[in-house]
Amino acid sequence: MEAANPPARDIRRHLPGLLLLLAAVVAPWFMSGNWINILILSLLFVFLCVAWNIVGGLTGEFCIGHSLFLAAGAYTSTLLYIHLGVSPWIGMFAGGAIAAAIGMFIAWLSFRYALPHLSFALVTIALAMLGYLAISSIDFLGASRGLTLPVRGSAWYYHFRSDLAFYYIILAHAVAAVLLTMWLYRSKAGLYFRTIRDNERAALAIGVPSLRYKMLAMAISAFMTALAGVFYAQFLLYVEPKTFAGLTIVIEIILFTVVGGTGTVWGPVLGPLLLVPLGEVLRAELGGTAPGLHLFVYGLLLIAVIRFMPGGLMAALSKLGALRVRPSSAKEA
Amino acid sequence: MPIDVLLQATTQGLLMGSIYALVALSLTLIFAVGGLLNFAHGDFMVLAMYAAFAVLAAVGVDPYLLAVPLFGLFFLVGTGLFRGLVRPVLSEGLLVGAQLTLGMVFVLQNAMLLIFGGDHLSVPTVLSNRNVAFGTVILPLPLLVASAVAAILSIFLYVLLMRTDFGRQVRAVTQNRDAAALMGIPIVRVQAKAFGLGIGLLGLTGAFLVAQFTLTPSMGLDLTLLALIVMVFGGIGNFLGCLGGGLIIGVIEGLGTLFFGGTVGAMAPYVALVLVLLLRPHGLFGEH
Repeated sequence: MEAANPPARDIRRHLPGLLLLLAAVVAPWFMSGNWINILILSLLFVFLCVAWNIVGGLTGEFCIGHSLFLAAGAYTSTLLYIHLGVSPWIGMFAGGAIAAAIGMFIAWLSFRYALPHLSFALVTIALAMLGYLAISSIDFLGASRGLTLPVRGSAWYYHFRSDLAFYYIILAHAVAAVLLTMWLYRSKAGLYFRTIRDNERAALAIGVPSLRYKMLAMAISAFMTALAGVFYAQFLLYVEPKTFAGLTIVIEIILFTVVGGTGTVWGPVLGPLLLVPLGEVLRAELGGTAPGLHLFVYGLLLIAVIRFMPGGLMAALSKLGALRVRPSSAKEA
Repeated sequence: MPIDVLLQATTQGLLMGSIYALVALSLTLIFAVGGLLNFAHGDFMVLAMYAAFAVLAAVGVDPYLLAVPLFGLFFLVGTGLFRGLVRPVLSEGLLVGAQLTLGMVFVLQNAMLLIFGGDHLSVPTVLSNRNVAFGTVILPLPLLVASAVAAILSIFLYVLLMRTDFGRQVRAVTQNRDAAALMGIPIVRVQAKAFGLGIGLLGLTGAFLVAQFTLTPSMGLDLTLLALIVMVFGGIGNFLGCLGGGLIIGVIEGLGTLFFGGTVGAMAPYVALVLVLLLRPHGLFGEH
């Protein structure tokens, strides 16, 4: 498919991305432990936003239920680890599979009942609230106290003494996710996703198997979100409902993605990379005297972007011509 | 299960329900005229409650006396927000509007957290800690007053929408914006007024409800979700349906808590929401 592009142009097109990757690889060498933590959190959100974007941006389904997938990953791997001694490296596939199953069920449900966009958002938010309430009250899942992960202190159990290892793991996750979306953009599946988003009726009419592809998008996105949940649980060594199943993290994911540019490849990367460090610095500097300031700023930025920069940072950048965006994604919002 | 316990739970559920109905009615008003799904709805009401608290703490004015000033203030805020923020992005579609209000959720919740701190607050009014007994049913007076006010306002709003020129304009804009414009209805002005009215009612309701809740800055989203559930139950955009939906949710919540305890009681409305969205997408009272 790339045959039309001479290789030189291809390299130039990917140059910003490659430079970003290079910067990400060498960045922790020049940073203190605190900044590495901030970068880990930023990359975690990059991964989460890229995953959400597959459903929320590419396929155009406004899903507010991604906390379910995050919790499915975190809790499945944690329970397998605590009770059966299964390594989270294996548990993460179990968690991912459960999340993908839940995601496919939601996609099937919404298709079966032909839910309009608004109702789909409401159903996912209701399911997310149900998940949150259930986890907060079931003792086996640690209820609202949460579960503490025992430390076995070896790489086989997804545990590392240095944060650097966690940094490179989440970087690998994020890079893989970006490569996946780049590939999705060119693949038939990605084309179908966008067709469904832009006009589902027309997509059905020309023979796009809408249900199958909606389920596929949800499954991919849910699986990835579950992996993020496993990573976050291993990083914090602690799972509890507010962080892993609450609505705040979903709103943050949506917010970062929208600020970056929904439906684009690089929007969900740029959004969290700019906003998470900003928020963390605010929290570190003023968190003691002004709790919640970073979320306040996030909210203001989101409102400002929607009002003055529709399409997010990516649309603004591509208008400036600073970054080449594929025309199909630049128009999007 | 003794019958008077059941009666108590049902009555209390109905009273809470009439309050939910009013909140959902203003949510519906905002949704109907502009197609904006306001996720920050509950947060505006919580903002009114904190405002009432602040005035009480500063100058000792009882929250009930603040209802009308808060209505005026919130009406102005609402129309201002509509003209400055909401209207320019309405054409971008439903989801962009919803994202905008998600941003407002963060702004409002955390502004309140910054100003008032995260501790739970209870705000006393002249009526606090007084109960009224009807036979075996004992009801807190603040709840009784709040739901009476909510019921009166709901009826007032209903009459306003159904019997006045403004109401006819609102319904015309709701049904078909282009046709309404062709009939010479000043769409933007009607939308701004309706939006202001919706937010203004929250200011008023907040003042009356403040005694009923323990305040925390993050409680607004739960209220929004309840109002959304009521709106869906009544059939999105159906004003009369909201009234019925509110009462039903209040009773479901009351009886759910009674029979199954707090968690299931809290889960019941969400289960009901999913079922209604799937099985009766036009609401319980709408045509199928």
